[in-house]
Amino acid sequence: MVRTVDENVQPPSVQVEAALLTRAAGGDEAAVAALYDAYARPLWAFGLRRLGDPELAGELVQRVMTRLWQSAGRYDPSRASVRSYVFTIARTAVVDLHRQRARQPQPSADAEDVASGVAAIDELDALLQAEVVRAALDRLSSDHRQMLDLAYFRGLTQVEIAGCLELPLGTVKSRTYYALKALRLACDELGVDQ
Amino acid sequence: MTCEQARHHLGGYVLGGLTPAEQADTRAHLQRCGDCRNELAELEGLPRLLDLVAQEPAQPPASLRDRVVAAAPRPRSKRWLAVAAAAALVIAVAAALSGGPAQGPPPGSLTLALRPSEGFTASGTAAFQATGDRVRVDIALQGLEALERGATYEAWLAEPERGPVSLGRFRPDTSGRAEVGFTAEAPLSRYSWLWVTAEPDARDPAHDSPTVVRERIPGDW
Repeated sequence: MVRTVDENVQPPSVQVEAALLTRAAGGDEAAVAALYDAYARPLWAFGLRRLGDPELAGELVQRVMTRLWQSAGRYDPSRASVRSYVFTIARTAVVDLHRQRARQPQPSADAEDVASGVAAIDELDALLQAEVVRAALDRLSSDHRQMLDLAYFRGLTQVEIAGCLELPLGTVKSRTYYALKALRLACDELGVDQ
Repeated sequence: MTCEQARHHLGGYVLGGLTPAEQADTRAHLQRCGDCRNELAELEGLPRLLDLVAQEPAQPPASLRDRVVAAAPRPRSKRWLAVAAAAALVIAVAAALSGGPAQGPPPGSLTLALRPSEGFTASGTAAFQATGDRVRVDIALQGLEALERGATYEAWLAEPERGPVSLGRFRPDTSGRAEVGFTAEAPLSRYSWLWVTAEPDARDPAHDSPTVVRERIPGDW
């Protein structure tokens, strides 16, 4: 779940995003673009999965972002991260879109399920979190990224990696360990929930 | 196995890829050593995070980015503030003139000047009147572009807790004017913006809904 962020332990990126939101609401185009780039992809994926239609997914992205600028004045950075805020807005927006497009004047169980089912909440949370993990991976050195790729995504053993990269086995072992340490640090700095 | 050797193996232990003997030795060391267990605790959640990014996500179309950035707020210029102040004065004078014996607007009412979005020429007003548990919203617009068959304009209120709330759809007359009344749930203070979009034919799959006019609803109303 997206957690409420304690003011005293906010990682720098959370503060940066809060400042970006203030600037975006004041009409700073670069800040608008930065927030779009941070959130459009997970919102789009969520819209596609929940609404099943690229057009509606696009409308979801647009609504959530618009809502974000419009309510920036009410956003309290000491209570929640921008990410939790986006999460809350997206859940509401996906229900509204579903309801509106289905032309249902009254809330229906079906519409509620679109965003309030456990699966939907977990899915949106995972999509938003994945985006931050990607950003964390981008901060790693290429050596560390390569090590995670070979050891985890490709499932090579430490011995196989040593052979593949023509490196001493000891170097592969310590590099794998330090790659994980670096990823942990980057995730902490970016406020990834553990 | 020493702590140094154990740390050496911890990456492979967490991600997989040690030999069975290394795996067993590392596990045995971890059972004995609290410091190394703490180190493991720092890292063992990472595979779950890596699983999240195993698949490349779908990319939204580039045109969506342009649309969102174009629809974002514009910096407030002094010129705009002057125009807004002039508009507010006009409304206040009009209200005083039409309100009869120096009464001002009735309590629980508000009139906003709606300003056009970039590329649109429409303008008008939105008058809100609170009546019990409802708010009446009368929108008067001029300079509306003619619409294609099946297309409509749609009025919206933004509610911070729930997102956009549709007031309803309407079509302009042949002179580009529209005077329409809607009702919304009270109180008006729950809404932050009013805007009107052009909604092309719902059957058109490639439709886009540009904002025609908009205005922020003051929070202290």
